[in-house]
Amino acid sequence: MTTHQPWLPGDLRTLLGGLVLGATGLTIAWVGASGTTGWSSQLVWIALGGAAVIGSGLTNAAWLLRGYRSLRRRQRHLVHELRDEVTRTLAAGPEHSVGTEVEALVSGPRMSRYHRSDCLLVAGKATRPLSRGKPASRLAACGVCRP
Amino acid sequence: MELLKLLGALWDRVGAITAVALGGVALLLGYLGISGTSYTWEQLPYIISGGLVGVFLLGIGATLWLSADMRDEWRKLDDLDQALHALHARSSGPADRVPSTR
Repeated sequence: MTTHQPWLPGDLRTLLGGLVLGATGLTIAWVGASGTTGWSSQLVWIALGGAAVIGSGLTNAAWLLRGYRSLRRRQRHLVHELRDEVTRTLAAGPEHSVGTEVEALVSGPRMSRYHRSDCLLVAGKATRPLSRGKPASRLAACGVCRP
Repeated sequence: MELLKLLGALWDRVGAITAVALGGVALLLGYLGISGTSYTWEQLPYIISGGLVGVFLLGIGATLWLSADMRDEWRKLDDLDQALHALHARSSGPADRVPSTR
């Protein structure tokens, strides 16, 4: 989904249309009721005003319902994707886990110790990964990152 | 300027608070108008201009506030979606690829 909100442009048009109709109905009802003194004729305008409020309320409710449903649909979609990703990662085994990159061991040409790739002592330095992540016998483990 | 930026970023919540405040004012004015009249035909217009308009504005305020909550949640889902795709891209690479060094 590429939109940045759970509604489509059509939903916004529907909402605005409903609100404009409601406001118009309320204005007409108010003007109509103000110009009459008879109870029966005022009741008609009251009914029109009530209908306008109910109509705009239903429009608001429909807007919120659309948004809520889009949100729930996307949540379900993401949960399924996450479940698939976890299943795929677990099935691939530890060698394929996303932590491999962080836990990989590295060393430099003139270094006497090997480090985790995220160790602060090798940050910004030219290093190369050790073959298959296993340190050579001549290298000692870093005392800071403790690989 | 900072205040304007903040108000621009929170336009939906600012609109919600404004609509609710206006709705409350409309209800109050309607009540004051009705309490100052004794005839039914004089009171009914206040029911429309005060009561119904107040309820209308309160509804708009509530809708704006709930919409803002949903937009926030949608943005959080956007972040989660991007993180999940990044995770997928990392985990679907070759198993023996060379780790990146800083």
